[in-house]
Amino acid sequence: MRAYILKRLLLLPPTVFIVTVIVFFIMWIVPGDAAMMILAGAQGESGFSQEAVDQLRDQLGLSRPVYEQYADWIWQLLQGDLGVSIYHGSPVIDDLGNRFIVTLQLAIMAILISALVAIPVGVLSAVKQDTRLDYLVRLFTIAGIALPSFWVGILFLAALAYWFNWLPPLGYAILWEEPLKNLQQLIFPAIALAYAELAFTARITRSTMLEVMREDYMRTARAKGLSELKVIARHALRNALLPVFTISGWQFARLMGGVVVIETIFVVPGIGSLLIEAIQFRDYPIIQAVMVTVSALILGLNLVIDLLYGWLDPRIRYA
Amino acid sequence: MTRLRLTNWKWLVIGPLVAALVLAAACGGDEPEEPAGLTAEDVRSAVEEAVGDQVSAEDVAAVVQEAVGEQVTAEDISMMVNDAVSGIDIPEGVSAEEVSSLVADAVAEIDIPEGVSAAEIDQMVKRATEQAIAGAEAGVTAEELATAIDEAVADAVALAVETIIPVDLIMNLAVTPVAQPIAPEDALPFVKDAKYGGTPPFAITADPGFLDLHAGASYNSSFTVSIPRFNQLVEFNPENYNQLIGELATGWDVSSDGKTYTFYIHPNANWHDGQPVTAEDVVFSLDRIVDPDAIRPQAGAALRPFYERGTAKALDPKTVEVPLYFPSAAFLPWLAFPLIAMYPKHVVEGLSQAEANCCYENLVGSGPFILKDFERGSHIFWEKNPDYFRPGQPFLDGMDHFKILDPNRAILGMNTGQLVAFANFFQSGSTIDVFQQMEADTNGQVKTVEIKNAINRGLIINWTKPPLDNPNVRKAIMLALDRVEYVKTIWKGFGRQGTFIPGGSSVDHAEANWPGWRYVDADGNLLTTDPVQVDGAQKHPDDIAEAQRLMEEAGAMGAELDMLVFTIPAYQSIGQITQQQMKKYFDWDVTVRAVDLAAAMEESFAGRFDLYADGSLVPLADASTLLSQHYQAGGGRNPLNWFDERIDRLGADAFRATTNEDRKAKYLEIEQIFVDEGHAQFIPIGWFPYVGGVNVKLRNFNLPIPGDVGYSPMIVAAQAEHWWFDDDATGFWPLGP
Repeated sequence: MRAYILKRLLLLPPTVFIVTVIVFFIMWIVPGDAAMMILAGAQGESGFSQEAVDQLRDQLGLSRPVYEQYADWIWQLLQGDLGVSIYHGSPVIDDLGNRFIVTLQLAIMAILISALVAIPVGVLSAVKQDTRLDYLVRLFTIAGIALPSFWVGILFLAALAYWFNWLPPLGYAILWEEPLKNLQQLIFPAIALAYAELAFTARITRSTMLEVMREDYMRTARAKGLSELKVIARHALRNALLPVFTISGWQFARLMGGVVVIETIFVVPGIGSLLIEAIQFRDYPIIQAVMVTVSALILGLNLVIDLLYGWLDPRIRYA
Repeated sequence: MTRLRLTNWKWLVIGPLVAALVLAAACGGDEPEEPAGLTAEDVRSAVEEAVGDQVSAEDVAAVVQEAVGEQVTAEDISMMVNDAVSGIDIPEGVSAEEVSSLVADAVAEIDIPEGVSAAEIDQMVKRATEQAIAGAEAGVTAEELATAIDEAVADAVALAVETIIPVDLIMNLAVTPVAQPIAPEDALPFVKDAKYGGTPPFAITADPGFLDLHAGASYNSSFTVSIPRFNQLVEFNPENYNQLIGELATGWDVSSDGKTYTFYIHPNANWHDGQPVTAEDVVFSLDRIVDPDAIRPQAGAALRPFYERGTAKALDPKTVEVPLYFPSAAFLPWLAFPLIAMYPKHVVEGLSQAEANCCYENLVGSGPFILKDFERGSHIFWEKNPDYFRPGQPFLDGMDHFKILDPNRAILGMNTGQLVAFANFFQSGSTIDVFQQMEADTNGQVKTVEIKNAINRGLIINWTKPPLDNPNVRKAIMLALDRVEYVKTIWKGFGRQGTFIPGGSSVDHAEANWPGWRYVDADGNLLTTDPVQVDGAQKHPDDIAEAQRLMEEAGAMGAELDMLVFTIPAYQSIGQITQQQMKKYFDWDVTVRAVDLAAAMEESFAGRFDLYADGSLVPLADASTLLSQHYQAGGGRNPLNWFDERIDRLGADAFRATTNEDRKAKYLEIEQIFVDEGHAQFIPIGWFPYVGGVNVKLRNFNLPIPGDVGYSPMIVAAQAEHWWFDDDATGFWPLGP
């Protein structure tokens, strides 16, 4: 077991490394660079000459060969330095720190909401299979999977503005400093994100529940005279949740994709909106920093889930 | 009859002077017991005392007469008069309104000839009044003075018609100094009812890149974070964009050869750290901007043509002398541009370029607001500068700027009242219908504001690649483009046909008759009015026939071309319309390739395109800015360095011309070359307004005057020190309809 953990941990850095190489060279292939964006402005409002671009590229170190730029960057990273933004020149860590917390909070809220709704709904739908309730749940969840989360987000905002003449407050608020404002800001994007996730989780819960409920031990449990609630909660749900738990790591990765768009729509200053802007401005130190952080997080989370999974399911542990 | 604009600040100097004379006259020379307590003699001696031994009021009058004989412009005269009367204390108890109404009555009687604008009349009236003052004897009655003014105004108007100054050109010679800092209670009458307090919320759609304005500034994103924080030496008059007034400078002198400027720094101006703003700071800032070893893409480009590093001198702690390479009317307007921000030497001298670029704490300004907190991606919080050198300003306690990347979210915020405006007010990516919808949705709580002709859009042609390397092919495109279709389809008719030189600003346009710009009505008659406003206006058939003939001759019918556009809806629409028109006229297959801004710029500089939809904000309503951007090698919107030696030569001549007639003639010559030959790399499509929306709670946002052009009104609008906030304001507009 220890060897397994060690192996997984050792695999982490090379995986992150490969991610950075891929991202770096994708950004290199895509035309455009930060020097031009600095000169032109976000809307391309200012003109500039080739000479000015060349000068600025030299100053920013963008005219060096790409492998050299990459080597410099990775060398800095190994020393624990994420570098400075090309577009605005301030240290990347300043940007990343606070915004990472915001995104993490948003993701956790989304996962919690998703779990709190999806599991009961999935169970209910399985227990009441092929009833009107089941059809309703299936419609609700199909819609959640089909509708992109940004569309749901826009609908939320439009509805809040239209019916309540209210919108989530603006500006950065940390949970422990301004809890109310923080929740007002994050609850709606969290729900929008959670909807797609919960739809998925609910459908998985439903199908595994249906599977489990046909198992022999279910009949045994009922035969023992346990109440239906106990049968479902203790015997069916616990077994049905294992696959749900397994996919949650993958779901987290998916959530990170949704976060990028949702944060932009809801004006949440997290790493998603940071990434969007960094791509717009070709600010590769920030893009890289976000990618490294997110990929390390996802890999770490998957590792933890795998380990927990073994702990939850004795069959795996002893295999 | 052109409507008068009498809120000009100059009335504050001249108006009370006249009023004092009127009052003095009414006193009939008795012992002064009236509020002002002044006789005409007192005023006269005050003038003489203030003016010292330079000139007397009579001298001024003589100069005026003499100058008028030599056909100098109204602007010249007003300069002289202002110089002479500057520094006079305005007697208490005399309102500018009293004098204004007196003169207004006089002027109202006169038929103002067509083509003369309110600003010109303003000038004439001022001049006439000055003549009247100069001619008035002590002891004249109010009636006599009024008659004298009447006559003088009539003379002035008659004269001005001969030596007419297009208002559009005033920008180019606007060098009217202000004698003293504007006190809001006097100089900005519209501010009289101002309320203090409030911290209104604004949206910003993009964070700036480098914070050092000198080093790497784009207009919109950088100005948002810098205009409230820094000052220039001079600024555009918030009440009349065509004039310049002092900002950090209380006034200035120009040497007789026009090559040396002496600026006087405001005695109370301090940096936010409490140190005084000195002449040394100004010298340091100017030298920093033109530093040849530093990267100064925008600020340097603006100032380097005029000023040589190391030549400015601090004459004393509050006086600075700035020599120029050559006398130029364009120098001061550029100096008013927020890029030419003044920095404190003691703070910035020790900073590396990287330190100046990265972090707001490192720079210190002198402006009306202090930047308190800047979290990229989230907000910029501002606090009022309690020691701002302009008394009584600013009115707001602060401002909250919230970063909102998605314009739709910002518009929702405006609709619900969560935001009062975009911090830079205007959105170049948006069309006016978006804001008109907002106005309708909020019952007028949010007003649409526009600056006409501030944006130009057109096609950049890859003149290095066949078939577009053939000048006749480019000319054929120029002839065939249906510009009116673009304006009607994309900008819903808010705009006009694109021209080579800023529309309606620096030169008269005769585009109604230009081949390629001509339109006919349904009966085939040539249109003399704006074809955008005419239903069923058609391209002149001769132009289409000629375009097709040229294309046939070049053997370029049926070509396949690649068109590059940004992923902004308006640009994508330009792509589609161009595609259709080229198919229709030349059987071309144009593939429209939409990429993001960064990619489009790199592709265009690398020449990987045939057609490229581009355009710009026009920073100054001056032909020189557009010419250098699009039609001269190394220009900001000339990626493949197209050039024509004739254009370069004429452009340089025009830039250095000292009279407007000369300038105008040169620009007309340039324009004629473009129209005749159609060989340029940039073919204009249209002039469009810069549009935005403002909640009426934000008061004293200076509306662009109808007919205003260019970007400078936007800069004036963004001067937050004039704004005040009225939380109760609903559905009416502070500055009239």
